[in-house]
Amino acid sequence: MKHTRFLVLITLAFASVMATSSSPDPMIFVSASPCDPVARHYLDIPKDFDCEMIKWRLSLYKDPRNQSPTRFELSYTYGMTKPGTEGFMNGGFAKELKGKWTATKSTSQRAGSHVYQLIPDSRPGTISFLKLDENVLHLLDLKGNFMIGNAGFSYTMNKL
Amino acid sequence: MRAMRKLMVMMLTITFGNVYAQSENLLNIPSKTTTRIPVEEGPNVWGVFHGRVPCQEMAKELKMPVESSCEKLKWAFTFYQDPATRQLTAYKWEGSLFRNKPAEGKCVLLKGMPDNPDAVLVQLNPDKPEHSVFLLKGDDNVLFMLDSNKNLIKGTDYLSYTFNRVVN
Repeated sequence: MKHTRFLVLITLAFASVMATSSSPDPMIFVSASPCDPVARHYLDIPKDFDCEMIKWRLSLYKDPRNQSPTRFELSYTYGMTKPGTEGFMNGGFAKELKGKWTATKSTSQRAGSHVYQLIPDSRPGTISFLKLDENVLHLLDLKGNFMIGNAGFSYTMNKL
Repeated sequence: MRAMRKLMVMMLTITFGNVYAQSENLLNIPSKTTTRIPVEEGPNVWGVFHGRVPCQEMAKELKMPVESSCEKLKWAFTFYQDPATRQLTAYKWEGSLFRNKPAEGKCVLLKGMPDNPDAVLVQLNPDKPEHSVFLLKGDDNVLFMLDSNKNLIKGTDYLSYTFNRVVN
């Protein structure tokens, strides 16, 4: 009897965890981008803050039951580049953004099959990426155009 | 009535003034070149694109020898067009690996990637298929280097295979 009750409890606990959790292994995309006004706007970086590079790490979680998008976590560091390294002067300034994300089929005939849209919990507005393939996303501007980088950095996100 | 009208005008000015100021500040436009020599421009220039790509992986793709310490390749593409038809005609490829002499040749636009028949590509050296290089045209301002099978190449947390339009 005790054994049966224990098994039922374990089963219920497992089912509860499965029902509420997102995929334990998110898709992770990384990038080093410029720090243009649109990116500053998306990431709440003050316009007068000395910034020439943003390092992005975007984790996209899916519901394990049906693979539909659930939560996202975006951690990013920004600041001035440290010459001769891939890092920042004084380590840069780190922030995080969390929320929900959606994936919609792109209706445009251009490259890219889906638009991934981040909807942050903490503030209004969205951040959109075009999915170019399974491994490569590209940040879009407020009008849905490709964000234009510079000679050093681009707004392309690469799967880790 | 006059006071009301003044108030309306003031409110409209503030509202649309702010919208204009915000959109003005949030422009997504090509960056100015950081090179000492201005980039080429004029009716025969289709566009100039700059970028940095991972060295070892790219060199392997292009079958070009590089030092083991090589980390990134800094490249500049200048694409030329027929001023009358605006058809892409030729390219000049400068920077790392081409310091002594830029690579030059013909180029064309064509359609089709393995998973997207509508994708627009730039093909370098269409007249020499064994030396052809393909770039995906994201839009007028952003190009992506492709591998020999016309697939996108995954970059790192620091470098991508992306080239961005630059201007003077």
